[in-house]
Amino acid sequence: MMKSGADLQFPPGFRFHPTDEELVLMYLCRKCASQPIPAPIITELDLYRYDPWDLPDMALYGEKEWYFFSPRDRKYPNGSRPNRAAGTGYWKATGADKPIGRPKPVGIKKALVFYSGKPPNGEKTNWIMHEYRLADVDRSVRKKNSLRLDDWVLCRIYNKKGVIEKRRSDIEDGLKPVTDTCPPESVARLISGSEQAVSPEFTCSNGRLSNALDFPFNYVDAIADNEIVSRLLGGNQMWSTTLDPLVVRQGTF
Amino acid sequence: MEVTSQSTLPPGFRFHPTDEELIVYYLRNQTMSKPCPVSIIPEVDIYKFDPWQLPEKTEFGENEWYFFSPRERKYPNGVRPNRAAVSGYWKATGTDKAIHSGSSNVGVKKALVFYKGRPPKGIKTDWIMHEYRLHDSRKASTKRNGSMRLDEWVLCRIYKKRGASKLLNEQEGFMDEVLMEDETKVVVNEAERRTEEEIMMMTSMKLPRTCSLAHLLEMDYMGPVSHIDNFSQFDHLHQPDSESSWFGDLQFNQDEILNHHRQAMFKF
Repeated sequence: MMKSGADLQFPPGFRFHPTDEELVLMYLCRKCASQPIPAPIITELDLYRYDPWDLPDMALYGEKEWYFFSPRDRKYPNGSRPNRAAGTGYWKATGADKPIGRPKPVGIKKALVFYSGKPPNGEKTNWIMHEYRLADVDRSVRKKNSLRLDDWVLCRIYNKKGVIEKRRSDIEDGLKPVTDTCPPESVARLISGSEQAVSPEFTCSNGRLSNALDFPFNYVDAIADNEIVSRLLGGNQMWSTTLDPLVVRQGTF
Repeated sequence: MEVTSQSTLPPGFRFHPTDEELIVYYLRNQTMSKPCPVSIIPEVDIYKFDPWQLPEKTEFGENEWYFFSPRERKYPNGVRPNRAAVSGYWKATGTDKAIHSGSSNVGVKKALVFYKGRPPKGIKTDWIMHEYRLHDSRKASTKRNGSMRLDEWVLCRIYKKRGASKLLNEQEGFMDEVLMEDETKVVVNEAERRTEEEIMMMTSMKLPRTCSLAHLLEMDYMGPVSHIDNFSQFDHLHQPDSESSWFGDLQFNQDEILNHHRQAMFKF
């Protein structure tokens, strides 16, 4: 069952059971900076070429969850949405993006579920991916003739039922729909959106609030402006009236 | 078996054993007085302490702690263990789970919850224990009549239920993000409001002209109060030449100037 390499011999009971911070800081950041990795347990593989049930056999290490460094491609040449098609199906985001690292996020974790078939008619499976990507990266810059969005993201793959099932077994299970997500996650999803990074969505949300706040202010300004102009015109008329006698007097003189 | 200290573990590796590993590699060796693969599980009589005191009794562990502990009988020659601790007692929950290694039954796992106070009026806490004992432990225990020791060693995993705190952490993270963004937008609003005020100032300064003298008076209107005083002096100089009615009109208009000025300041 365990496919640990010759270099990975630990006493019984010790396993790769990393926190999100460890995955991002000790593995993903180093990988993206071309620095040495602490342990050879994460496989380099474009996992979007395969179905998830084929991935465990290609992993260096793992019993119930498997780790990969994978590139990500764009869905469209000038867009920043990742292409989620994989093997005979596609990965669909679920839940909310989670920033990793304090006080400033270093990475962002996204949870996805694998669907067999073509969107939007895919059939949900028990295969889950946790995708970790760097947070502070400008993904709008594009190399010529390349659809590459990220050179490396870190992915954890596991089957929710704990066994390596093929497609048919997954489909036959009566699973709950995605809408059964617990309320806090639902609220968070509305805030962050399913595919975009966290910051842009928050900016848009606050932009809406900003527009709402501006409207009353402009309305008040308009009224004030009209009043001032009206009074000033009236004042000028009075001045004109006042000046007439002076003009007459000067004429006489 | 080779002994490895924690410092040689790569980041992300932890003691995260299966039930089978705990019994086969650790509890069985401990019971037979053989060295364990790693000396990370201390010998502590957990019933002499409250669960919140136990984490400091071991050097290893972040959210769960492991101990080898003896068990005493509740009554002489009885087979029920004494579950009393210092400030409360451990109460079994759920059903015992048989642990298999291959096709062999090697042990039993029991889950317990810590209650503060005295039974049956104890108050439930979040402290949980998983107790592992060997399958053949009962045979051994009957051999020592007259002793209150029920089991020489059982293996205990102690942890505090973390479901609620995890949820709080999740919400906390997102709240921080939202607040951060709000502060940024507030700054933008300030800038926008300042710009609006400037536009209004310029608009109000573009007044229509009726004649050259009106222009001069307009400047007086927009100037500070001291300019109005200058105008009064001018009026004084021309006093002998003017008719009384004209002078009265001038006074009235001067009040109008102050009124408009006050209005404008208020609107800004």
